[in-house]
Amino acid sequence: MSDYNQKNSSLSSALDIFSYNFLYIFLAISILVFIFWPVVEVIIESFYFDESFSLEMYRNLFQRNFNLVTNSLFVAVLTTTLTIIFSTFVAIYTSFAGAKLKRFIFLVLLMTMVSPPFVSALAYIRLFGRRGFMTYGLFGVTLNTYGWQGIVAMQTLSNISLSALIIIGVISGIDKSYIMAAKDLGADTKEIVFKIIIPLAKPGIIVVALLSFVRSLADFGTPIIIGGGYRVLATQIYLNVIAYFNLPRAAAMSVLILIPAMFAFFVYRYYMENLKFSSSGFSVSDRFQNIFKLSGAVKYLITVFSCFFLTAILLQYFTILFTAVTTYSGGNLIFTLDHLRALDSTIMASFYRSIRYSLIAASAGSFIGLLLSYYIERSNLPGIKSIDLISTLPYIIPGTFFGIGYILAFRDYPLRLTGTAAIVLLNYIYRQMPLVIKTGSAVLQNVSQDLERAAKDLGAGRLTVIKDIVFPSLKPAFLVSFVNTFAVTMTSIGAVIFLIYPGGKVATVEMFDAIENGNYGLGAVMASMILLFTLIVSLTFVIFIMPDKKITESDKFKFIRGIFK
Amino acid sequence: MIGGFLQPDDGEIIIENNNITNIDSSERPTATVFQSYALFPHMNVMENVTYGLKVKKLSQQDKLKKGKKMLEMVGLSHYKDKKIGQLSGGEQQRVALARALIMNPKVLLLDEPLSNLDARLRIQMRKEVKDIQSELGITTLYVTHDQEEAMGLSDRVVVMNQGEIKQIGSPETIYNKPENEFIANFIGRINKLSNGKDKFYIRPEYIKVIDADSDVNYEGEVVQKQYRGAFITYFIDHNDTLIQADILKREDKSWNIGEKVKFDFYEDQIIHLQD
Repeated sequence: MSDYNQKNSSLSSALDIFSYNFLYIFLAISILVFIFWPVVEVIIESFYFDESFSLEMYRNLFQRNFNLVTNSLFVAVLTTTLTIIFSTFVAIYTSFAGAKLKRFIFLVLLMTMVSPPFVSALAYIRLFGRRGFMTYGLFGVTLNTYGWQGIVAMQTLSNISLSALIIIGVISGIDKSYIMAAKDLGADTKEIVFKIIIPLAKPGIIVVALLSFVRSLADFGTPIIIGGGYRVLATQIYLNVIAYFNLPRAAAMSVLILIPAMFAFFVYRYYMENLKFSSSGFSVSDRFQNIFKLSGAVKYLITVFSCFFLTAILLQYFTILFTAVTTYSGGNLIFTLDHLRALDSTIMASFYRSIRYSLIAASAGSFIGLLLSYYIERSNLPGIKSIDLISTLPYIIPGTFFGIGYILAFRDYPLRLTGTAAIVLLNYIYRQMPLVIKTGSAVLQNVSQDLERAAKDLGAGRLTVIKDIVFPSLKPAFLVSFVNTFAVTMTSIGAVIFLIYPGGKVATVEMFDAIENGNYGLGAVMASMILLFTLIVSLTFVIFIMPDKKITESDKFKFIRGIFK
Repeated sequence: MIGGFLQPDDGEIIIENNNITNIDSSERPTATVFQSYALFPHMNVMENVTYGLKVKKLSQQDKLKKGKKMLEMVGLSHYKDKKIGQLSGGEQQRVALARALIMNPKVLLLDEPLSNLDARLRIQMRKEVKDIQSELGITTLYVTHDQEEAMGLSDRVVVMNQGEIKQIGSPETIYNKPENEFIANFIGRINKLSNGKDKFYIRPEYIKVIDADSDVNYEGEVVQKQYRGAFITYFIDHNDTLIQADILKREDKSWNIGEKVKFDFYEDQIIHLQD
């Protein structure tokens, strides 16, 4: 190697290292600005009262609104308990079901994962409300079914799908020989379920419990629609922002929810790190069925719970579709297309806007998140551990909290974004960051680092390695993240409801408004549209764009198990 | 470390009088064949082999010419358009070797390259690697846990234990003249005996087993007998020490388990070690 060459190559090498580090700094700053800063802003805001620092907000909360806190906790504890029981049984039932039944349950679970929020609440009103098909239609009674019972029931119903999918993932990761060994030693179904499967699935169950608890605390939609006079923290946060414009108060309430959420987050992180999902995927568990069949009393118990859940879910969707095409006319239920006709150009514009936003958020979010996952998995640059931790925050902080954070952080100089489409998009993108990063990390952990070393060894610079080796390796992760983010963006509402500008509504917000105004028919039409569209896009993606044999069944289903609203 | 994937705590790495200690692996004149082969799964055989040339921005023509030549050398010309996943372990191994050799490295690094192959293929590949290496005359660093492989391939063997070099020498020297107890025990099989105060070592193939009535000093009882093909290994209990003796089958005499025997050595093969 001549002297000249050596100098030349070390210059290009220096440039390569510089660009590599620059890219990292850029990503790290974006995480700090769009995740960390909004969170900090909410906490700071909560201490402001009459323009000065004070604990007044909190004193006020605890003294005058103590019942808000207890109501929230009461609902959350009940919801969590019921979710654990149902989702564990549904997961066991599914894991040991025959191939056909299993596929059917997966489709049902998938459908609920891509459902817009409040679908359960809407169905509940239509079934048990003042003019409910069940209460009024069938028995001719008008009951006051609004209250905590409905909230708990509907939150549980919407939590079960995700929870069951997580536990199914854990169960399929259990070494089958444990079950065979137990059988060999003479254990019956009861023993195997309660002494082998449930204890081994415990990390998954704990994760499920924490998620349900936090999701219940943060859910404002269900209580507003079917809570009647029953008030919880989440609804008051929503009202404080939308109706009373009392941001400090909303911030203080959000921080109150954040405390248990943060606690749950760290426990969750601890368990998730030690939790191994089956890499061999669900297809393997078909063989599961051959080594073990449920029987006896336990079988009936599990089957009853699972069938109850499946019936409720199917009833819910049936109700939505039914509501979309019926109306009361002179006390009689008649079929109508009025609700479909009510879809005016404004609503359709919102629907198209949702699609546009979802496509942009899915591409940009996947790209940024996967790059970050590469740095997190493979580099030991300074601060990478903190960036990793911060980027996981949106996973657990409630959507409303994140939304308020965006209002506060971007209302003024230096980044004034209020009332733009950018703030909505950024919120969508960074809200999904944890999921994208996790997907990327999971794929990278299965790709030998030797590939990157080999490319470097053959003379490729850092950026060339990313382009030539890392991106192709991450292709399955990109597809999964893309569908994931697309589906969540199409169906979520939590944060954006505070961020949209007049005339810039998205489909879920239109739907929420319709339901809140008592226009259930239109709400049901919107729900069906969002649901069908997202379901079709997701399934198309899974079936046609991911036929790559390297993408296992479990990868395909990863996106459903990961969808958080 | 030599490939540039790990930072040394201390010391320098010098190749042809150039200190490469602080040079990035992409700039080093080394090429590595990884234990896992690390072939790029999204590229075909030719793309894999010529990847290094692509990064060097060689023209398409030059790339293909060199790539073809290299694939010919490892005997895989007809596989150039195949996907990596369609190749067998031995074929992947050859692609990995071709990909490293095409860079014309000053030092070729082979990290347990044959450990993922089955025993038969390993012996075949061992020969091929050796042939190619001697044909090209490239300095090669070959990491292996397989002693036979190390002995068979090397001009010079470095034996390391827990990060410390224990002995450097030709395979013959290492085997016949171990410098310390670790090497003696680690390389091949060996018997440790004592002659009163004097301790010494002897390889199993240099032990002679003799009838119990002859007049040599060492005696014992056959406790196990293992048929090894070309020879039989006798395990002889000698004062509670188990002695292994490899006796060629050609020798007309054989002994049974439980039989009392005496044994002797080829005196010139006795190894003495300082403590």
